[in-house]
Amino acid sequence: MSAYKVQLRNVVKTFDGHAAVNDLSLHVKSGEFLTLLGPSGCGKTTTLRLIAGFEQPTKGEIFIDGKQMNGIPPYARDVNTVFQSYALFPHMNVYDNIAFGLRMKKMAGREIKRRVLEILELVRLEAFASRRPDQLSGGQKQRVAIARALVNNPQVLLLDEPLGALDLKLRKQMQMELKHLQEELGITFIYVTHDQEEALTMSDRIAVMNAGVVEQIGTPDEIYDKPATRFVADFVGESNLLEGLAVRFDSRYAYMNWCGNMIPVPRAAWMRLNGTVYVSVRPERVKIASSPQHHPFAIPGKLAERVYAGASTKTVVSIGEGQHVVASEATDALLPLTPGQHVFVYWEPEKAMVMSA
Amino acid sequence: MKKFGPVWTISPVALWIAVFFSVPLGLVLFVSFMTRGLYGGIEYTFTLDNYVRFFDPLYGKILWESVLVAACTTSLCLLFGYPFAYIVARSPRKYRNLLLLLIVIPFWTNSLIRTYAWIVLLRTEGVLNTALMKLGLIAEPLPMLYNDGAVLVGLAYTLFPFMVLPLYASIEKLDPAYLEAAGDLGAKPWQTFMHVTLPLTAPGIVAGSLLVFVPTLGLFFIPDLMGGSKSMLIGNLIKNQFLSARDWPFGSAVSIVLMALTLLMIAVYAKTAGNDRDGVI
Repeated sequence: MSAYKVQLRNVVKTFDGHAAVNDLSLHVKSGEFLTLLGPSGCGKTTTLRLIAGFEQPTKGEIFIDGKQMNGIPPYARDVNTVFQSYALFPHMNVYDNIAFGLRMKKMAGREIKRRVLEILELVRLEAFASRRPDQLSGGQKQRVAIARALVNNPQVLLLDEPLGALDLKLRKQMQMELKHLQEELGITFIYVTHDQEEALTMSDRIAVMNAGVVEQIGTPDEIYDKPATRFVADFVGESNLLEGLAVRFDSRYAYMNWCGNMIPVPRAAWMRLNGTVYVSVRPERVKIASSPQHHPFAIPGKLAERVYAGASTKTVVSIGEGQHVVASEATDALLPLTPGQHVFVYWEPEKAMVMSA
Repeated sequence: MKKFGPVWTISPVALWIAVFFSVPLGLVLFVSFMTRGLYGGIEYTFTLDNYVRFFDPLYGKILWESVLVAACTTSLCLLFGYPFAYIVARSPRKYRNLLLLLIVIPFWTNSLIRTYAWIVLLRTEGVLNTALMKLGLIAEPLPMLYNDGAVLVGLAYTLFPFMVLPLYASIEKLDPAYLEAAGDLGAKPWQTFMHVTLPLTAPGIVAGSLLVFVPTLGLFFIPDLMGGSKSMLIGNLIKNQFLSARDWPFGSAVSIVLMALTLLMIAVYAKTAGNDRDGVI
C-alpha cells in the first residue's frame, strides 16, 4: 500500500509537438480533496484525462493506489470521472445511467438495485429515477453525473469543472454539497477548476498550474497568503504586484526601491543587495490616508478613481508614472476623498508577500 | 393581402407536387380500379379484380421473395456501411469530405451503365474470371452472373451510399464524451459499442435501412440484367405488366399495394424516431 492514492512522476504529454503537460509531478494523499487550478490551456484538464486514462503520457509514470497505470485503458482503472458536459447517456433514464457502471461489472441485479437506490437517496433524486436526462435541470443532471460515478465506489473521483454550467447561486450550494459528500465518503477527489474562489472554498490542497507545470501546491491559506510566484499571487485573489531592487537590509526588513519610495518588506534568505524583488500586496491590506502617517513608510499618490462593489469599495491610487495601487476598503468606513486629491498609501510591512520569480 | 403571403410562398411547391406527383398518382390509383381492354387498352369499367388477383399465391411468392431480397440487400449494405461510415466519421476532419466524395463519385455515372460494367466484370468470359483463370487459381469460369448472388451484389452496390450517408450523419453527431463516459464506467470497447454507440446511432441505421429497403423493391433493371430474367421481383412484375403484358390496371394495382407497404414502413420509422426524440443529439 502506498501512502499516496495518485502519483504522477515527471509526466509529459505533448500534442503535435506542443507540451500540454510538462514534467509534472504530483502526489495526492488518500482521502484528500485536491484541486488543479489554473487558466484555460494550463494543462489541468489534460492532467485529469491522463489520470482517467483517456490520454496516455508521452513520458513519465502514473500510479493509482501504488499500481503503475501506463497503458492501462480507462475501463480497467478504479477511478471515475464527472464530466464537464455531464455526458449522461441520453437514451437511458436516471436509474439506468447510474446502474450502467455496475451492470458493466456484471453485478447481481438485486445488489445493483440496492446500490442505485442508496445513491439516489444520497443525492436526493429518488423521485427522478425514471426521468430522461433532457427532463432534468442543470443541478439535477449534475447530481446524476456525480451519483453515476460514485455508485462504483471508485478509489479516486475525478471532477472536470463540474459546476461550470451552473448559475452562481446553485454553484455555491453545490460546492458545499460536494465538499460534505467528500468528507462523508472519504473518497479522494481530484477537482479541476479555473475558479479560484471555488478552489479556496473546497480544497484540502490546491495545485496552481500554468503552462503545463505546477507553480505551487499547498493548502488554500498557503496559496493565498504565501504565493510562491507572481503568477500565483496574480491568479489567486487580487493582488498589487510591485517590482523593485533590494537596496538596503536591516535586522527585520529588506528595503525595496519602488517609484522612488523606500518600502520595507519581510526579509528572505534568497535576497541579494541590488537583486530584483517581487512583492504582492492584497488590496484589502492597503490603507489610504490623506496625510503622511506615523508609519515605517507612506507612498504619496493621487486618487484616480473609486469603484463601488457593494460591501467593499475599490480605490485606485496612481503612483508616479503609470503605476498604481488598488485598495479595497469597507464601504461603511470610507474616508471622504475625491478623485484628483493627494493621498498616501501604506500597509503593514509584514503583510507584503515577497517572491523571487 | 398580407395574410395570404405565406400561401403565395408555398404555391410553386404546391403546383409542382400537384402536377408531377398528385395527378400521376391519382391516375395510377384510378387505373387500378379499371378493367383491362382486349388489346391492352383500358376499359373504363369499375372492378376490384386487379386487387383480388394479387392474392394469388404466385404473386404472394413474388412479394415475399422481393422482401427477402430487399432485406438481404439492406443487411449487406448495413454490414459494410456501418464500419465504413464509422471510420469516415472518426477520421480527421479534413479527410472526411474526401472519403465521402469517393463514395459518391461513381454515382455521377448512370446506374444502368454501372450495372453493365458489373456484367463485364462478372460474366463467364468477364474480367474477373479471365484473370483468375490466367493466374491458374481456377480451371473453369465461376458462375458469378445470372444468379441471386449477382442480383444482391448489384443492388447492394447501387444503394450503398443511401446507407452510408445517414449512418455517417448520425455517427458523426455522436459526442465522443459518451464513449469516454462508458469507458470510464468500466465498459470494454465492445460493451460501449453495444450499449452506447449502437443505440445512439439507431436513427441513422433505421433511416439508412429504409432508404435502401424501399428502392430495392422497385429497382427492376438490376434483377433483369444481373439475374438473367430468372428472378422475378415485384419491380419486374410491375414493369412487365406495363410493358410486355400490357395490363395497365393490374400493374397499377400492384404499384398501389407496394406503395401502401412502403408507407406502412415509413410510418413505423416515424413512430420509432418520434419516440426516440433524444436519440440523435
